[in-house]
Amino acid sequence: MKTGNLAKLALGLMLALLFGILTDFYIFPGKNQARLFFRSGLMVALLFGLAASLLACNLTRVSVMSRQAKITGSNTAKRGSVIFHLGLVLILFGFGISALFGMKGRVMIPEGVAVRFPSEISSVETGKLHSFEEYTVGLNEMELVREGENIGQVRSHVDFITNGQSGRRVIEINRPAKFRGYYWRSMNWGYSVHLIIKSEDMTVLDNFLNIATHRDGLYYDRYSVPDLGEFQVRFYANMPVQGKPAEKAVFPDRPAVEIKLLSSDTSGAEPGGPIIPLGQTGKLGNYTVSFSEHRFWEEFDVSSDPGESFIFLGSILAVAGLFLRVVFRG
Amino acid sequence: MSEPEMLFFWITVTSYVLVTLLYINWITGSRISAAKAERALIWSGFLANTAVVVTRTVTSGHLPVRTLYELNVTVAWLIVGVYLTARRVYSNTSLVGLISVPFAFLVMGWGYAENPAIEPLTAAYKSSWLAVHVLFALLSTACYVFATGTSIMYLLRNRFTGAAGVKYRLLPDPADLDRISVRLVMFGFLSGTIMLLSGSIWAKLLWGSYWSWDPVETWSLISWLVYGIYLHLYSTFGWRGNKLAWLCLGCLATNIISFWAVGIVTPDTYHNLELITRPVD
Repeated sequence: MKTGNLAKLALGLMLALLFGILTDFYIFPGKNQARLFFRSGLMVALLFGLAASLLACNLTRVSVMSRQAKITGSNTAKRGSVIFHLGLVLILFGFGISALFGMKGRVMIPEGVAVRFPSEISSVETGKLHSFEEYTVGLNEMELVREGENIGQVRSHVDFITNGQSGRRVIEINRPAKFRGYYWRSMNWGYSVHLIIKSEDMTVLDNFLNIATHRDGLYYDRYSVPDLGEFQVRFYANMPVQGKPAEKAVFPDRPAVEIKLLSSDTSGAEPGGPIIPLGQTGKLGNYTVSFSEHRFWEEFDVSSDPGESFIFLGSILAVAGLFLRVVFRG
Repeated sequence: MSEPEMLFFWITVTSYVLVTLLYINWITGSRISAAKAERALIWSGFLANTAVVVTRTVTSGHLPVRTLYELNVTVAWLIVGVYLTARRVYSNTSLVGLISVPFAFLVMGWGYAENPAIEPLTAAYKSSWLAVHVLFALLSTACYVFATGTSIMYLLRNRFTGAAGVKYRLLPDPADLDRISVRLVMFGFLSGTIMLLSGSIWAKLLWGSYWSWDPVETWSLISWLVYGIYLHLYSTFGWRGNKLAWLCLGCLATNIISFWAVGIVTPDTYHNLELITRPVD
């Protein structure tokens, strides 16, 4: 194929990619969760075609350049262009490697609990050729680093246990830990509360409840226990001695929980549930509720990215190539 | 906003407004008058803008890239910085300031009207990739604004010929304007590439994925692709002149959408960094 035709093909693929993205975003709104186009075979074919045409263009260009170099001398700007496109091919190749050999998943671990990897990982997406390494991961401790009234950092002390050996790593936001080829990143956190609910003659619940964290900065969740029915628990990080609890406080200075039974007909929470500070007991209808302890839970993103080195190398080449192309005139 | 910053801010805006009036006078009068005053005004404005960026960095304790005001003040500084550099390199391009300088003071005013208060850095911002990602994003916008200014001047110069076009004789030849525009797009494209790549690496560290098809991410890619197509059309398909200049205007629209508009119309974007510390639900 001639260079001109290859260039037309590359331009056509770039335009197809552009219109594919715009179509998925704006012609089919509401399908953003599924991202049909971005996960489709068509997108893969488009990116593969783009990489192939870039490579073919590059090879043709290199062959022309080497012939011209014998006559007119080398052209650094054109070399830059070749290096830039080669970088893009490497980046796409890296993505391909990661898609085939990599994996991605999430796991929620409360403080003091260990999970088996990968059997206890949820929402796992694995590449067709990925093979897992097995080990145990425990969240020893999580801390919120205070900076004034804000969270300066979320720091977790995580134990990785394999073949009876344990190694501790510190994970922070923006600073994931890598263990046996898997990156562990802090994604979300929240509170876990230990509640003891008793009726006159029996214990209905004696367990930790992991309370979901919502975007509005509130912590609440719904649970169901056979003898009690459905109920909602809300966690307040800071319950003042007098007055209403601070709605969006994050640091557990004076923690308290509010419990409401949910009416079956409306599935809404009944008003006026008791607010029970840490270490105290309250009444919920015919039940007594004790709030004895709280701890953090943390959600981790786990991923394996074997194409990473190709992506990094490709990025360096792309930037270096463009730099040569811009600085030296063609 | 500290008092020195406020003072420097108003010096910057006043200087930029006055120098814009001078450029209007140049183009309507078809001659360069009060050149020394123009130099004094543009440089005092730029230095005061530098002082705004520096005082903001000192008082907030971080690079001014946290809020819309900070981003706009920094992009204004880069826009004028790129303009001053480019007009030293390319002769007779001072009139491009008619586009670059008002762009700078308008975004500054917008940022100020929005909220100039200092916001603390959340944990998500605490990454060395932040500076690389945001500063190159702003630098690419600054280069694209100058390229668009040159394209607009090209269109004006080409549109008005003869007696009507005498006022544009202060500008370089159309062919030179074309070339300068492409050159600045190349610099912008380099910065945009660094912005995209550094953003992807940062996203991998923060969210565990290089690419999430977040609206701002997607529009940044669209803008990058559109500028890539522009450069291909120029270098491979031989596009020149009016159609390239119009395309340059369209390209800037995609950059403006990705940089400002998407974040406003889709506050749920990952790029609303309030949500980044805890990307829940």
